[in-house]
Amino acid sequence: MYFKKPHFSISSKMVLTNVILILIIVTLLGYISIIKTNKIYRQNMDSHVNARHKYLWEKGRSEGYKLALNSLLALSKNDYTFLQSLFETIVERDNDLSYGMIIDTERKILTHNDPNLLNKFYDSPLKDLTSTSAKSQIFKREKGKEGFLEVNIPITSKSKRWGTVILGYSLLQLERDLNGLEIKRTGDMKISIIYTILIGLVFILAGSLVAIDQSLRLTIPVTKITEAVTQISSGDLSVRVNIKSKNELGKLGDDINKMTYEIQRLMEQTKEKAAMEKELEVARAVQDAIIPDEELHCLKNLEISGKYIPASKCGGDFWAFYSLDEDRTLVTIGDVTGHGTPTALITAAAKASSDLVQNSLLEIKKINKENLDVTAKDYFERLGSITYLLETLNMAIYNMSRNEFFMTFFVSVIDTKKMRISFASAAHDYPFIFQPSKSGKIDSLFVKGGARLGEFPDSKFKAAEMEISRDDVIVWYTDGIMDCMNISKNAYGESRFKNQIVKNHGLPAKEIRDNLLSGTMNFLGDEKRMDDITLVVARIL
Amino acid sequence: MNFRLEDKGDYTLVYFKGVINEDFQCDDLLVRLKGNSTFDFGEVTAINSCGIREWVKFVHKLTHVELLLVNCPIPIVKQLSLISNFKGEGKVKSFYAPYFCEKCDEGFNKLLEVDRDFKDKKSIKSPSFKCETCGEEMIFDSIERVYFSFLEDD
Repeated sequence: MYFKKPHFSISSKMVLTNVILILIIVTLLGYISIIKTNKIYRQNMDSHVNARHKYLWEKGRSEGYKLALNSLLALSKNDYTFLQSLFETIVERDNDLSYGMIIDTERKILTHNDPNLLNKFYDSPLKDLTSTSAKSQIFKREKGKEGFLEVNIPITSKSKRWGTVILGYSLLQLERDLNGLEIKRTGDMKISIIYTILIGLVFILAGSLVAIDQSLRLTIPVTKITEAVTQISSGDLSVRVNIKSKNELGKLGDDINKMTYEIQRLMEQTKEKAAMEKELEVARAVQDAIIPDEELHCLKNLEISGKYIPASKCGGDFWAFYSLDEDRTLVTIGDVTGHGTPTALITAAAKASSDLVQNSLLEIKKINKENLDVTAKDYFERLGSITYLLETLNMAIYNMSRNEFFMTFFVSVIDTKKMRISFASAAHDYPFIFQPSKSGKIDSLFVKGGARLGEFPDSKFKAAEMEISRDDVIVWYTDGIMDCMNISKNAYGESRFKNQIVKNHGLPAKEIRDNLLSGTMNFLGDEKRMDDITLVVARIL
Repeated sequence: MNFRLEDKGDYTLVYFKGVINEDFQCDDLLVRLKGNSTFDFGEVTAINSCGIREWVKFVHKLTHVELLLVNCPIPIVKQLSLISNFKGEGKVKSFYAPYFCEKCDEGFNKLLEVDRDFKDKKSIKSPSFKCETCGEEMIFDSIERVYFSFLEDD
């Protein structure tokens, strides 16, 4: 059978707990009070009894010795008439004394205030009735419903024991006193219990009122918090808890408000991040579309292969190549400051400008310059130069980036007919060239660096040329590859990189590229890359 | 990145420390520099692309200062050779250069003094150093005409 567990509100629980607690305390205090009252009464009664007993004992002993002394002469003469009248008088005068007698050593009553008992044997608890050295004794005796305190005084003279004086004091008055005290005790106990109950009720009432007040103080903010948390859990993050008190509940309310605000902020951030992620995906898609694939591209007397590995979802590196004609190939590489969507847009602008310039170069080539005057010839010469490409790109990026983003850029034109390479740089790392048929050493495509693209509107760039030969290997790269740091914080450096170029120079361009990259990655180990890596390798065939 | 100033009487010595990045803000320094100043880059560990932008902006505002650069680390020297306006009107007094011991397969950075090691600026050659570990002659770990190209400007 299923019983539903009863539900109690916090205030009911608090009131109930308070009532139970007060009940326990009041009952305990009442019980202690009753026990203590009882004990005091018992002590009073005991002391009263003891005092009475002591008084009767002292009195009995004093009277007994006097009687024993006065009885000696009469006993020696067997004159019991005097003794009889003496005991009758004493018992009559003393209200406390109920009976008095003298018994001989055989327990026979020689004299008694009640003449009817003369010559009878007395049932005394005394053991020694003959000894002359016996001491006075006291006994408590019951005769019917009445209690007596019996004082026994031996009657001795020199070496003879004549008998014993027995005085019986009634304890009736004492019992009456005790009964009176008992009645008083019972009455006081009843009053005490009534007071305890009344005080308990007053405390229960007061405690309940305090508990109700406290529970309301507690439950109102708790209810507010509960309602707010319910709303928050249902997705309403605009709710705020309004608790004015500065106690723990007030602090809890403030903390919930802070938490809600933080959740709201984080959710907004998450939304923004999701939107940015989407933007980055689009930007990455744009980058993927504008950067050549990773395959080996075989052109006339030239093979080229590049790879771009962004450090984040969307990096800032860029590379491209164009066949200007069957003998000339334009190779560009660049690195935008930072990462993310803006850098992807800058690289897209760079690509667009490169495309335009490539188109211009193709168109200019078609123009018959022989019939042109010197100015026009110079104009078209300038339009066909690689520095013009950098200037055009610089202007495009300057206008677009508003001096916030810059791009390092390196442009090269490989002419496999004239066997020359011309190049210009906008503060980009100088590519390496390995010429096995010449020096057998690694050299750089060095040209005095200009400013980065986008830094100044009117930047000028210098171009340079170099002879190339069959089997020459040219390696373009971005700084991410050389600045790679391993776990010991050592940079990969030029020597290792150049050694790899020399070691792999006889391989196809794609394999050289892959071996150079794996050399870098092996050096890096498990350490995280901090920058994008772009590596392009061309081999003259 | 942070910096510390020391007044040396006839010139001001500024120590830079850490990574020069987009947080590089030295407007306060700009106001405090007067006359001859020396920038010590000995404790600069790196400079990123955004740091280059901020640095170039800063250095081009130092028109009122006779600037000397000392203890330039390799990342700074690299930018000196890549970017023509990297040091503004300043002059390099000393800089680090990368050397590599092929036997130990380990790189070492050596401090070079322009006046001591490059008296003949028409024929710039890297000074030779021996490996601190094995004693073998080390090779210069870059291309001389590229790495030292900034010296031609001074």
